[in-house]
Amino acid sequence: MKIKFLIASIFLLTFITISCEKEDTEPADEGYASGLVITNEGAFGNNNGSVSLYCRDSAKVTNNLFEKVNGRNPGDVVQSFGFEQDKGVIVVNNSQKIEIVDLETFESTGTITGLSYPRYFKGLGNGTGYLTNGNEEGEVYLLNLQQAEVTDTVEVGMGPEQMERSGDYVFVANSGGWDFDNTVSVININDHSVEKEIELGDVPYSVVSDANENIWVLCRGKLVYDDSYTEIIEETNSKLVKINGSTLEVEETIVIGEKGDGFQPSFLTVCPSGMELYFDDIDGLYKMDTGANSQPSTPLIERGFSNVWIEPDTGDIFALTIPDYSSAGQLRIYDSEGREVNTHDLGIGPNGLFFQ
Amino acid sequence: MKTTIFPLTFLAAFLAPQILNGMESDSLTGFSKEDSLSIYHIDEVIIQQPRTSFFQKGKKVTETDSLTLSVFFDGDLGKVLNSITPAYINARGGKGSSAGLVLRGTNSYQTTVKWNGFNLNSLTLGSTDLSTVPVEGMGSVKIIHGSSGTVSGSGSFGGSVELTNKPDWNNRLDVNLTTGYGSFNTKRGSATGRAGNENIQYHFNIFREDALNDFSYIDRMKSGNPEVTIANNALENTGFIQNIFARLPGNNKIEAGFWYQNKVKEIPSVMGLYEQGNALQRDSIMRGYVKWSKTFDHSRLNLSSSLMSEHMRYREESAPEESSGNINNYIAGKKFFNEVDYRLYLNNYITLDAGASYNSLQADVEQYGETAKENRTALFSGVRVNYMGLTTNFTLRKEFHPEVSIPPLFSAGIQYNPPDTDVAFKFSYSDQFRVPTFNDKYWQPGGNPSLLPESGHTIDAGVQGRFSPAPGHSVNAELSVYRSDIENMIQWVPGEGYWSPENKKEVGINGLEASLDYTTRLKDLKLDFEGSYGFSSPRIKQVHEEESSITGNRMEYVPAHTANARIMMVHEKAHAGISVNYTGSRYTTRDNNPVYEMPPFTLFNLYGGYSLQLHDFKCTLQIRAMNILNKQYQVVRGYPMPGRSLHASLKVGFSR
Repeated sequence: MKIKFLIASIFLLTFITISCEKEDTEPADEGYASGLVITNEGAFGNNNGSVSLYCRDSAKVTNNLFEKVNGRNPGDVVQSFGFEQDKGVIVVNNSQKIEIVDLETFESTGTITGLSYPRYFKGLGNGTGYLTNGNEEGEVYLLNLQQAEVTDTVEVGMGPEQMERSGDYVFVANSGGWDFDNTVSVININDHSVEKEIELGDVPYSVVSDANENIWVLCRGKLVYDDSYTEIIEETNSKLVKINGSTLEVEETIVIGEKGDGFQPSFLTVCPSGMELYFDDIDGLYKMDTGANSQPSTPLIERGFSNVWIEPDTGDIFALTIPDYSSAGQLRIYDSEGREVNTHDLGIGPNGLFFQ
Repeated sequence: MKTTIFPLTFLAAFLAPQILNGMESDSLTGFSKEDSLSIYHIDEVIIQQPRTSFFQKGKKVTETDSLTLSVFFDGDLGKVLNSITPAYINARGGKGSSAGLVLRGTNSYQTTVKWNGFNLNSLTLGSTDLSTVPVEGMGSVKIIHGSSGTVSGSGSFGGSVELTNKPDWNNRLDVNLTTGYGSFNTKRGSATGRAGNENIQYHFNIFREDALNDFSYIDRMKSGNPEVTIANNALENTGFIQNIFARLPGNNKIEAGFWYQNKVKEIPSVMGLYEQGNALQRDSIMRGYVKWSKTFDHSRLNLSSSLMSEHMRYREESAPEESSGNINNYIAGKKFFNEVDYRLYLNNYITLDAGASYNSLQADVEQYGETAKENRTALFSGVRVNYMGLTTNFTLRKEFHPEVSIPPLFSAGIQYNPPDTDVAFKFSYSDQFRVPTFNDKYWQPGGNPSLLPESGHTIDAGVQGRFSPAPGHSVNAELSVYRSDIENMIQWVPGEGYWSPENKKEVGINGLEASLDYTTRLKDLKLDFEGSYGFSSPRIKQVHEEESSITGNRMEYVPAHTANARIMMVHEKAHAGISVNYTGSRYTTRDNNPVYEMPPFTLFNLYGGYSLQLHDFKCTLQIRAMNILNKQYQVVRGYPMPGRSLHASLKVGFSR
């Protein structure tokens, strides 16, 4: 009898304990829209990409958010995330699809499939948004998120990647994808047509806008290997190129890195004030004023990251590291002086931080 | 330490005859007690035993029985190994999909598969794709568990699989024609035959199989978990294997074999993808060998030579045509292997063996940039001593590699059979070594020419007992425990856009294997139960500094627990049975993240058959129902495995 009572008590206690545990996918008061979304691409071909959420209020990370809410993995190579009103868009590159989620619940509300090589999403503020697609011939799709469908297509340069909006223009960096390009396509959002194609440095990849509504484009530079991938046979300078957001003219070009170092920077970020740019180089993370005309002589943090984001309130630097593609990556938080203050484990291969 | 063992082995071998002169022999080893030293008789089975079998005392050995080979005659090697051992088959889908053998917690490239003594492992990949080994063309399949590097050469960490074609020297003619049909549009036709007399024997097997492999599965990586039918998964597999054996005057024997196979397999997209791919892989293999042996009064000389070539083309096109995203890889490899081996039967107790081998490897692979070549030479020796139920063997091997200095490898095995019992106590120790494969070093992008070779050792202990609890009942049980340490283990890990190999400082594997075979008769009904269980725990013991967080983690894609059990009933001309296979959960990431852990799965299969004999003709109908509970599972993440399937085959044989 006593044993039965003991077992019953253990069960009851266990039930109560489990019931009282706070579900770690519970959103902040405002839902997931206020959090910092981190995409973890996973290992190519392994279907283990994921989405993490950093809650700024609690300073906690929830990993595998999409899987916890929807009961399935988002797919293979989670490339990026985008916001549009009450919707979020998870771009899953090698699964050739996007997942549209409700930002209150993170439940999937739709899937658009059949995309050949989706890369990045940019919301337009009216329930629609642009999606870059293509590893050679590139296009920008206009998506209706409510209907989960492609409603228009804009032909752009090759291998379009990141986008930035300034007024009625969206600037699309044409990296070349698996080939080569050196242009930015400027799309007029009123008629979804290309207003202008601007030639700048080789392999444009990241685009941000500063406080003065200038557009900054990171051109990674050409890095071409021979057929056996053992020797570099062509390399061009990496550059930061400033475009006037109104005149659409190139105003400044700053060479970063050194030609011959065999390195291509992979990200460009702007701080919330729009006055400082952050980008990576072979020897670490650099911080540069938007008014500067050359790269600083020393890095802020001597370490390589896959991407960074600057916290609007504190100026803390949220940086992603990838030890390998078979174990958890990390979110490393540095203060504005570059001192590491905290670390969180993420999913496999964290590659981007997204905040609205 | 090792350098002193080398001469000591030889010294012990040459002094032993004098020390042991006059000792009794034992029947378990095949020697007759009545034979005097001067005219002792050596059993032909012992004489013909290749080194790979002769020097494996102290190790666990699993042999397939004729019923298993009969049930899976139209399958590939993976099916057979899965049914008789706790081996884990790393299969990437249905019939014809690539499948590697994971033995004792190692990787597939750390296990050798040999055909009549010749290593089949790909010189580029380092492993054997079990889907390219047809069971029907083999006379027997034997698994030697545990490291056997000193006998089998570089790479046999987990063990080795010996595929053998043997002549029976009877005056006979056997011909079998088989046709089969199964689920997922699987069709197979084959012809096998044996013909010959006491001096010459000829075996052949020719086969052709096609499968659409269009099975359905639940895609839990897609929204709504839809049931989808897998596309671009067809298989065409054609080949023939033939062997000829001849006994020539003067105690000479000659043996030759030739194996040709052409497998064309579509490669389906992984789960979660909405667009079906068009990848296609064509594997062509050509393998030939010649063996000559001469038996003297107390010794035997064996010369063997083989030439094996492998060609693989992988094509995948993405729109538009001529896109730089198209893949068109071509791999060609050639292995030329030569070995001389002399075995001296000093007396009833002691056997000495010594020899040398020369290997020439060449691979033409676009991704290497240039032709890769390598010549390897090895010297080896062995001593086997039998005394009062105690059999010991010591082997030593020294390999010479153009780029790597390989220390002498030593192994020792002891097996003790207490007199008048059917119990055997086994113990073995073996050094192990594996040089990086061509792909490890040269594949671009990712290959690393500065990879260090793997090394380590294995200790293995076990007990085997055969007993009869009552008349008509027999039990054979075996338990083995092992410990393996591997330094600089090579593992391909995913990177940014491509995979690359790297050395893990130290991996330790603890494990055990247990097997039980029970046979009984109820009047005319023969009942056979076979069960086996394997536990292995390969863990990263030490890593390079920057990876300290994964110390202690389990290796990926190795289940801790595997088990199988089978009950077969044979009644005169009919047989029926059921089998169950269990595979435990597997981590898929090096940080052992439970989110990406593959769940365990259990599969149930049914077998049945009936034979009719009419004079010299025999007709056999066999039916096999696999995965009868329609379990949805994956062995490798993202690669669905077939659900329930039914296969029927009809064999018509002529034997005289």
